[in-house]
Amino acid sequence: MRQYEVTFILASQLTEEDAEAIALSMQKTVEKKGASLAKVEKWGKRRLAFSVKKNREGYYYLFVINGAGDAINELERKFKQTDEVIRFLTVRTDIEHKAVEKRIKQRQAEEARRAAKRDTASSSESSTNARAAAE
Amino acid sequence: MAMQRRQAKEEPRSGKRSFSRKRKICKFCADKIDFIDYKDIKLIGSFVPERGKILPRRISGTCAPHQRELQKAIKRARAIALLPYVGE
Repeated sequence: MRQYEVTFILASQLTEEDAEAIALSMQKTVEKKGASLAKVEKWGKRRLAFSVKKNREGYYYLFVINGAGDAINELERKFKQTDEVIRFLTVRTDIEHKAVEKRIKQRQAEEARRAAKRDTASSSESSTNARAAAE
Repeated sequence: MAMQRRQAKEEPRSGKRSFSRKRKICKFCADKIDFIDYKDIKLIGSFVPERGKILPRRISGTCAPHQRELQKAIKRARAIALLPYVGE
């Protein structure tokens, strides 16, 4: 099972309802291919950093999809057919999340090691102090 | 009076010299950010100056592994028009 994050932008001249309808049909395409939507985020109308197909604004949508690659293929095919979709970006996230977990574990191990080192250093110091006091 | 003025002018400069290049710390290491998300433009945007270019490590002080992640995030953000390819 793979996880994908698909962000897409719908043209600004659409009404809110039309945009919503297109997004809904996109969701159905994904589900028809046997993939499940883990999350659907609607960012609403946002200003674009640059104009895309003569649009200065656009409706942003984010899907988090759990499933196989063919659902993504189908979705991207549909994006290309639909003129209202002005931009889309697909990112495979399961690999990245795994890498992040590994990094967190590494960091925690490093911190634990450092803390242990600090403890032994301070305890050895105190023992030499005690010895010096005894003498 | 002229002397005084000059002194006042020189003081901050000499101060800067004696402090000599404080070591910059990677923001992502300091804040323990493990994953740099392309959707988080508030964070990423601080590494993209007016011109739209990616701020070099030499200036931001970001560590190499985090700069690589940051670069990836910025490029993704550009792809979906969250950040500009070219600024003003």
